[in-house]
Amino acid sequence: MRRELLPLLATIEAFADLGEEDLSALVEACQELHVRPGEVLVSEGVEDDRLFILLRGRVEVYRRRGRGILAELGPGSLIGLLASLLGGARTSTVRATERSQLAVLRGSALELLSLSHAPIGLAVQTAMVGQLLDDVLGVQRRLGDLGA
Amino acid sequence: MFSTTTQILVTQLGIAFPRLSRSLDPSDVELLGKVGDLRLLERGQDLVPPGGRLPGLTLVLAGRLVPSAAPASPPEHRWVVGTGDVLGMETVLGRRPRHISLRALEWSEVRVIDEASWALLRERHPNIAVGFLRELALDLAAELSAVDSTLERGGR
Repeated sequence: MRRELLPLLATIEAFADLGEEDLSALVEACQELHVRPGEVLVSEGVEDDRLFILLRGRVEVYRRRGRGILAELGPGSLIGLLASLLGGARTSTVRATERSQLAVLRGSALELLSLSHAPIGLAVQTAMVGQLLDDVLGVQRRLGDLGA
Repeated sequence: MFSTTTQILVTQLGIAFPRLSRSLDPSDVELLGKVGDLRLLERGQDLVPPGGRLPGLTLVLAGRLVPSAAPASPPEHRWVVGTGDVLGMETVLGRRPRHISLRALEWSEVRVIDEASWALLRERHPNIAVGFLRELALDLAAELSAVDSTLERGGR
């Protein structure tokens, strides 16, 4: 069943450079998850080290207090990279807005996988730096707009 | 046994990036200390002239630098880059670094890792590259948390 995830994972930009052996190892470590609209994947403030790879569907990211919907994510998005790699509580809540299919990887499994398959470690760490850099530049722009 | 020059490189890296140095084996720190080019800058010397781009991932090992094209204001009021800062992270993402101009505010030492050197490090020493990326991520996460808090306070 999980072998069906392989061609879907191969289309994810973050994993574009992975060879078939690495992709297969990634698939073996993942669990498949299907959610309906309204279902919450991760909850703000909760310790949770799972990485979600959105294969099909859409989700929205929001915080209890603050600025409404922070982001809407589609296929190819890696959700929860920060908590899965660096630990700590979730900083926002993620909820499905459509029927969605995801691959789920526990942080501990990801760590082991990164040790045994260096390209996977490089892929996820690079993706995390990319996400964080985009986030930092985004909030810096907003700060600039506020004149802070 | 490290040579004196290597020992200096390792020590410098350890002072500027203590967390990274602790997380890697000494031999890996030694190797990382040799990746890319070391640039020594006199006070007032440009690392990147106005209109230019950073030549790659730039690790500030010592000293302070400021944007040379910043508005006329006292140097202490400008954005200052100092020991332990990393610029040009776009390099590790395969993106072109942003336009920036940087001038040394005092005697400074930086290590520049261009795209080719980074690619080589990834290929030959992926564990070092992963450790380095993790370090970048931790710095970015801390920066994000700080600016996000400011935005939360100022945005409401």
